[in-house]
Amino acid sequence: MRILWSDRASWLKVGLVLTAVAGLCWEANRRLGPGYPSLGRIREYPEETQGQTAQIPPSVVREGGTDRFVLERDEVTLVVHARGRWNAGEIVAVRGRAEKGELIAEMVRPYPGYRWKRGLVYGFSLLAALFVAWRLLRRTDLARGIFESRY
Amino acid sequence: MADLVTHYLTARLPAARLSRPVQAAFVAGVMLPDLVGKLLEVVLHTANRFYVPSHTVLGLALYGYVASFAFEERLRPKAWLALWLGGCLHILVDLFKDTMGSASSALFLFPLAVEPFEFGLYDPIHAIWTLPIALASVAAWEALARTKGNHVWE
Repeated sequence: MRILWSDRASWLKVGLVLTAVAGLCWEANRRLGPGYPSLGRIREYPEETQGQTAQIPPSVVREGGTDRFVLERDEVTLVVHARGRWNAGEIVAVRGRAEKGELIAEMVRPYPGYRWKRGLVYGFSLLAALFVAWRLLRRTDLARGIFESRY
Repeated sequence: MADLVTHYLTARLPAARLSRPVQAAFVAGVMLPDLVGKLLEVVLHTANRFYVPSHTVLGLALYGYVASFAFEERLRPKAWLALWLGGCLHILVDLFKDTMGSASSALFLFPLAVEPFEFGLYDPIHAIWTLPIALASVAAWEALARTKGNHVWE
């Protein structure tokens, strides 16, 4: 076990593990991507994604309407069929079934005030991350690139 | 994601009795999943599900191994374990969210299991209402630690 943690050939060991991480990431994309198609994939590959369940994270309603709306994410739009009245500009998350290049919603969750709430959560998270980074960096020997506790 | 202030708090409380370098690794470990995940997803704009392993038990063991090389050789095995356990604690906290199964942490057993699971107790955006409580708790805890001389965790 000692060889795993020693300084000897550390670049090789880290490189091998990073290769394994990259493999795991590719595997995640390969296995999970098709199972949970993105908004763009449903539009571009209607036959391939037919009947699959999609989970669309909070996205903006570009065109509102009754019992249907147009959802936009990463500059790709998709027609979603969902009961009720939907207004342009709303932020909603959707889970539904792909059907002929459109989405039949099983659940739509509106997010009022999404932008400012998300902005604050991210802002304070960034501050927390910077705080931890600062505490760690002041104990780091930057020349050697390692963390050295003084205890 | 739950906010990192809450994640920091969940790490600081149980880590308080650990030795200081291990505390540092544990606190860093609890931050690791979101830092790696957001780096891949938001900064590097990687493909659709590339960021998922940053919130999985196996993925964190690998990321933690890489991160452990930032520690001195004598501390590395303990640092790796603390980084990994911190990451697992992060996943556990994230599992209480209700994201309709879309969060990376819902796939925490990938590649062994690909069915999403989460307890679904609160919507992640509602962290905005618990954030002031988390901030006050962190401030109170750090003030208490300072009076006892335990405020240095790194």
